[in-house]
Amino acid sequence: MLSKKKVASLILASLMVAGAFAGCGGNKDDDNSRGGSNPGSQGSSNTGSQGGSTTHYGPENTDLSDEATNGVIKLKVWGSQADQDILKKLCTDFAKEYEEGKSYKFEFEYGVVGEPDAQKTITGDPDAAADVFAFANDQFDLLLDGGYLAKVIRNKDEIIAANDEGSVASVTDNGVLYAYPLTSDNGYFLYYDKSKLTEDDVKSWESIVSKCDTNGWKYHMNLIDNGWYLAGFFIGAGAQIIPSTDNKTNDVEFGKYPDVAEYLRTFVQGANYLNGDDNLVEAGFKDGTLACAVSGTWAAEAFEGALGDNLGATKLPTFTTTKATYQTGSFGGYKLIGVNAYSKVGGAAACLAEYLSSESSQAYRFEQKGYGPSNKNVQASDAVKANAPLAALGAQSAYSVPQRGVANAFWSASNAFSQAIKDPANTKTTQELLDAYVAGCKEA
Amino acid sequence: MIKSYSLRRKVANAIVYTVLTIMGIIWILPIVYLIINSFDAATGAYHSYIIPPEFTFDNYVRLFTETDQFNYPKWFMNTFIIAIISCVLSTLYVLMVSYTFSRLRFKSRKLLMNISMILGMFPGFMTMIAVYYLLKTIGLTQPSTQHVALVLVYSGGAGLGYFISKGFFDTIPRSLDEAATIDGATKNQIFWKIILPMSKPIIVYTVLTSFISPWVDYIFVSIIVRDQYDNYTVAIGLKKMLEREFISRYWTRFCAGAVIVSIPITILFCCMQKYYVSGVTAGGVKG
Amino acid sequence: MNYIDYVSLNPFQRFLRKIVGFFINLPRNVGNLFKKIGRGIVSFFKWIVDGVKDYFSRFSKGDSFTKLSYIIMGTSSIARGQLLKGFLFFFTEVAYFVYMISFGMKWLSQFDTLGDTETYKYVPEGSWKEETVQGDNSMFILLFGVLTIIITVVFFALYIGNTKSAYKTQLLVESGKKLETSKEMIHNLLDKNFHTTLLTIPTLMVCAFTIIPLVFMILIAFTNYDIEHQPPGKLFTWVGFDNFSDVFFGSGKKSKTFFKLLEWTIVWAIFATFVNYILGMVLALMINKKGIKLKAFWRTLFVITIAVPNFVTLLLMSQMLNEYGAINVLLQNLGITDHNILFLTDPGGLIPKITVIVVNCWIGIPYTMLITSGILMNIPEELYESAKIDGAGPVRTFVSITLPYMLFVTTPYLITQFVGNINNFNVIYLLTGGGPNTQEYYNGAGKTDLLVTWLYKLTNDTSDFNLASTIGILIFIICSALSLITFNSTKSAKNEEEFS
Repeated sequence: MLSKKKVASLILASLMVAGAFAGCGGNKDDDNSRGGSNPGSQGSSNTGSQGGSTTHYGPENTDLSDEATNGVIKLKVWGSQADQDILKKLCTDFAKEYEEGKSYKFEFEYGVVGEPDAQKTITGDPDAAADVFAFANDQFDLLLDGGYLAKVIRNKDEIIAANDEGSVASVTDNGVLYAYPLTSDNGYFLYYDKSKLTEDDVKSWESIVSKCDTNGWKYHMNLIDNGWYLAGFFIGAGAQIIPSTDNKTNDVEFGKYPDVAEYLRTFVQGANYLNGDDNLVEAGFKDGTLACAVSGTWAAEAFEGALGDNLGATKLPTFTTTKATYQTGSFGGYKLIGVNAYSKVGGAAACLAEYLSSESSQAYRFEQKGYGPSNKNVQASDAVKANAPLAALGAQSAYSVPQRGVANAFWSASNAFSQAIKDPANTKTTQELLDAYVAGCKEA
Repeated sequence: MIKSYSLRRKVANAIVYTVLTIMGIIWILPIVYLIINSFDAATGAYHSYIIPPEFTFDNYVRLFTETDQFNYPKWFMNTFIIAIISCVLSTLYVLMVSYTFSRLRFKSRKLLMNISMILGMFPGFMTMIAVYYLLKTIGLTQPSTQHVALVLVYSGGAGLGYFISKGFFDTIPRSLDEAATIDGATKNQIFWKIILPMSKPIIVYTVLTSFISPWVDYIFVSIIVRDQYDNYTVAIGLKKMLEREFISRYWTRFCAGAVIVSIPITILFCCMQKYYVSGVTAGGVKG
Repeated sequence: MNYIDYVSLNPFQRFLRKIVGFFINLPRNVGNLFKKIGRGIVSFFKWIVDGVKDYFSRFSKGDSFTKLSYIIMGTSSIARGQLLKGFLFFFTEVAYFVYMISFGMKWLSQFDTLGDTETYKYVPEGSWKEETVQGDNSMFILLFGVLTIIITVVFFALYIGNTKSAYKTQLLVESGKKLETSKEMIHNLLDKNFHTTLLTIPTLMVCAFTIIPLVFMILIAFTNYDIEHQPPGKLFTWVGFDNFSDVFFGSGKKSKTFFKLLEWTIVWAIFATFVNYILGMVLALMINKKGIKLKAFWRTLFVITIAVPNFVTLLLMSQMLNEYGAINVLLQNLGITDHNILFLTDPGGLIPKITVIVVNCWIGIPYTMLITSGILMNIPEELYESAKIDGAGPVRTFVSITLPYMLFVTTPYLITQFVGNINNFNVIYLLTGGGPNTQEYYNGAGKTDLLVTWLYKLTNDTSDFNLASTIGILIFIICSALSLITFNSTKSAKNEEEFS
C-alpha cells in the first residue's frame, strides 16, 4: 500500500516538475514510470512510425513484456454466465496469437459478472475487479464519471470506422472513445404470433388492441415499473431527455405531450394489456393467450421455442393520440467492452478488449448465440441479414435514440408514473400525473 | 350435566380440529407447491396449472450433474463447511459472553450489557462496505481466503446475541456455583464442568440458530465473494437462479435446490425441537 | 404490585392498568433515560478530571521506576519481578508505535480533510496506453482513520492502566506485601478475573466486525459520500450536519418520504409483532388443548415451515402471489375471482401492505407457537380452575387469563420482536421490493418500503451513502431508545438480580 502510494506520488511529482520546466515531459518520466517503457512506444519504434494513431497495431508489433511478472500476464475477464464458453474460447485464441514469438504467457481468470451488473461490481472494489469487462451502455456515464474506464487509443480510428455510428457514439465523450463496441442489439421491438396477427395488424397499436379485444388475446409491453420501455412512447412523439449533468437527475420534455400520457393511461388500463417479464411472455406464447409482446433479441430463442415458425418480429407499431399519429420510439442499446482504468496490466487488457470486440469475435458471437453485431462488416453478412429479430431491431433503430445521460431519478420517476396511470382509482388528472413525472425526473 | 359437558368438549375439539386442519393446509401448501415444482418436467415459472401434467426427477439429477453453469454441489459443500466452523465459533462466543454477564460480577458489566444490546440494532448490512475493506486489508478477500472471511463475518458479531442465552443461565440456581466454589473450584472450572453440562437446551438453540445463518444470508456473501462463482454459497446461488436471464430455465431447479437445502435443516429442527423450545423458553422469557 | 394483587383484579382492569401504566410511566421513563444520559455525561467528565489529577499525583509520588513506566511501559513491573505483566505492557507499547509509524500516522494525518489529491490520468508521449495515477482514497482514509483512533483509544486505556499498576506495584513493595506472581496472574484470569478472559476474544471480534464498521458508517452521515463523490476516482469530505437537516427540513419530498415511511414502519412493526404473537399463541393453545390427538404431528407440521430457509419461502411466495402466479390461477380455477388480484403491486398500496403482513404471519406464527408452548404449560392450573368455576368460555379465559399472563411474562421477547420487525428486511425486500412506487415519495421509495429497505435501496441502487447512513442513524436512535426505555422499565430487568 505504502510503496504503491510512494511510487504514485513520485510519478505525479515528476510529472508536475517535467510539465513545469521542460514543457514536454515525455522522456523525463521514463525513469520513474512504467509508462516510459510501455509497449506502445516500442511497438511504434518497431514499425518506424511516429504517430500513434496512424499505425496499425497487431500481435506482431505489440510487446507486453513489461507487464509480465515471471513471464506471465494475468488477466481477469468478466462476462455473463451464459457467455463463459464463448469468452474462454476467444481468450484462448487471443493468447495463441499474442504469445507467438514472445517470452510471456497469458493466464486468464474468468469472473461471472453479467453486463447489467458490471458497473455496480466494479464500483464496489475496482482493484479486485476485472481488467476487461462487458457492460451495457446505460452504465457508461457512471463508469466514465467515476473514472473506471481507460481511454481507447490503440487502433482507435480503425475501431471507430469498423463499428456502427450508434454504438460508437454511445461510448464517445468529447471526441474520446472509452470502450469497445461489442453488440448493437440491446434494444426492443415487437414480437408477434403470426397465426393471430397479420403484418398489417401489427402496424399500429390500435389495430392490435381492437383485434385482441375481439378475440380475448393479450398484448404485452413491459411498461409498469420499467421506464426503459415506457419512455418509448414519449421518444416516439419527439420528446427529448436532456442528458444529465449531475448523474442524478434529468430534464425531460415529456410535459409537452399530455396526449401521449393520456394514451398511455388508457393503454395500460386496457382489459387485455399484459405487463410482465419475458418468462411470462414465453408462457403466454406457449399457451396461446398472447398475441404480441415487446422484448429484445435476448428473448428470441425462448420465444422461438414457444411459437416456432409462427414467431414474427417487426418494428414497434404506431400509435394515434388525440393530436397525432406517432411511431413508437425506443432506446437504442449496445453492449460494450471496457478496460478497467485501475488495471495493472492495462496494455494487455486493451489488446484483449480489442480482440474480443473484433470483427471475427463478433461474427463468432453471432454464430453461437445470435448476438447482434455492431461491426458493420458482420452486420452486412447474409446470415445476420436473414436473422428476423435483428432485422426488426434494425428497422426500429431508425426511431430509437441513444440512451446517454439518463440518470436514476428518471427511472424511479418513470416507475412512480407507471403505477399512477395504471391505478384506476387514481383521481388525479393525467396532466397532474405528467407534471409530477417531469418534476420527479428533476428531483434528487 | 356431565353429558352436555362432554358434548361441548367434543364440539370444541371438532372446531379445533377443523381450524388446525385449515391452518395446516395453508401452512404446508407453499411447501408442497415447492416440492411439486421441483418435480415439474416443464421448466418455466408461469403456468396455467397448479399440478403439473408431467413429473420428473430430472431437476435433482441435473442440479448435481450439470455443474458448469451452476455448481450446486460445490456451493452446498462451501455452505456446509462455513456453517459448521462459524457455528462452533459463534456458539463459543455467545456462551462466553452470556456466562460472563449472567454469572460474573465486575465493574462495567451493566454498561457493557447495555452497549451490546443497542449495538445489535444498527442495520447490519450498512456496515458491509467497511467490513469488506477491513477484510481486504488483512488479505481475506482473495479467492482462496474468502471462506475464512465469511466464517469471520458470520461469527464475528455473535457475542452481541447473548440475550436469550444469558436468560437461560440466569435460571440456573446460583447455589450450585457457590457450593462448587466452597469445594475449591475456579470460575473456569465452574463454567466448563458445571454450567455447560446443564445447558444442553441453550447450546442446542445457539448451535441451531448460528448453523442456519450461512444458509440464508445472501447479502454479505455477495459483497465478499463478488465474482468468485466457485466460492458461492447456496443462498446466493439459488437467488442467482431466479434472476431474469435464468429464471425461465432454472425455476424448477431452484425449487429442487431449495428442497435439498431444507432437508438437513428440517431434520435438525425436528430432532432438536425439544431442546430448542426449552432453551428459548427459559432464555427469552423470564416468569 | 406483585402477581397475586395483579391476578385479583378483573381482566379489564388488569389490561387497562398495564397499558395505562405503561403510558403514564412513559414520560417518566423517557425523562429517566435523559436524566441517566445527563448524569452519565457529568460523571464521565468528572471521571476524566479525576483521572488526570490522579495521573499527575501518581507521577509525583512515584519512584524512579514508576516514573520511567510513564515513558516505557511496564518498567515498574519488570524491575520488581513481575516479568510477564511487565513485558506484556512493554510489547503493547512497541507494537502500538510500530503500527502508528508504519500505518496509522499516514491515515490519521489526512483524517481532517479525507484527502486532497485527486486521481489523475495521463497518456505518456507516443504510447497507446492510458496511465492512472491513484490519488488519495477518502474511504480508506476514513476507515483506517477510525481503526487508528480506536486502536489509540485502547492503547491509551492500557497506558493509563500501566501507570496505575506501576504505582500500585510500588506501594505494594513499599508496604512489604507479596506481589502477584505470573503464575497467580494466570490463575486469577481463570478465576477472579475470569470475565476478562472470557470477554477478550468476543470483544475483539465485535470491535472488528461491528464497532469499527459502525463508527465508519456513522461518520459517513457527516460527509458528502454519494454517487458524485465515489472513491477511488473522486474524493469526498466532511459536510457537518447537512445531511440531517436535509432529511428533516430539506426538499419537501425527502423529509415527507422519511416521515411517511417511518409511519408505515411503525404500523408494520405493531401489526407484524402483535398479530403474530396472538395468533401464534392461539395456535399453541389449540395444539396443546386437552383431547387433541397427534400433538407432535401438528407441531412438526408447523415447524417444517420454520426449517425451510425464509428467503426461499419468500421468493416462492412472491412468485406465487405474482399477478399471474399460482394463487391467482388457483383462485380463478376455483371461480372465486375473475380477474387477477395484484397482491404485491396494487397501485393503491393497501393490498400489498396487507399481503406482506399476512405473509409475515405465515413465517412468524409457527415460531411464536414454538416459543409460547412451553410458557403456556406453565400457567398455574388454579387460574383456569377458578375461571371454569365462574363459567368462563374459552374466549374469555384467553382474554382474561392467558393473554395478560403471557404479556406479563414475555415483555422482553415482545420488545426484541418489535425492534426486529422495524429492521425486518427480508419480508419486504423479497416480496414487494418496496413497491408499488408512488409519485409522492422521493426517488425510488415505494409504498411498502420500510425505512430499512429504503436504506438498502439508497446504498445499493442510487449510491446515496450519506443519506442512507443518516437514515440508519435515525433508525438506530429510535430502536435503541425504545428498547432501553422499555427494558429498563419492565419487571424482568429490575428483577434480574433475583436470580443472582
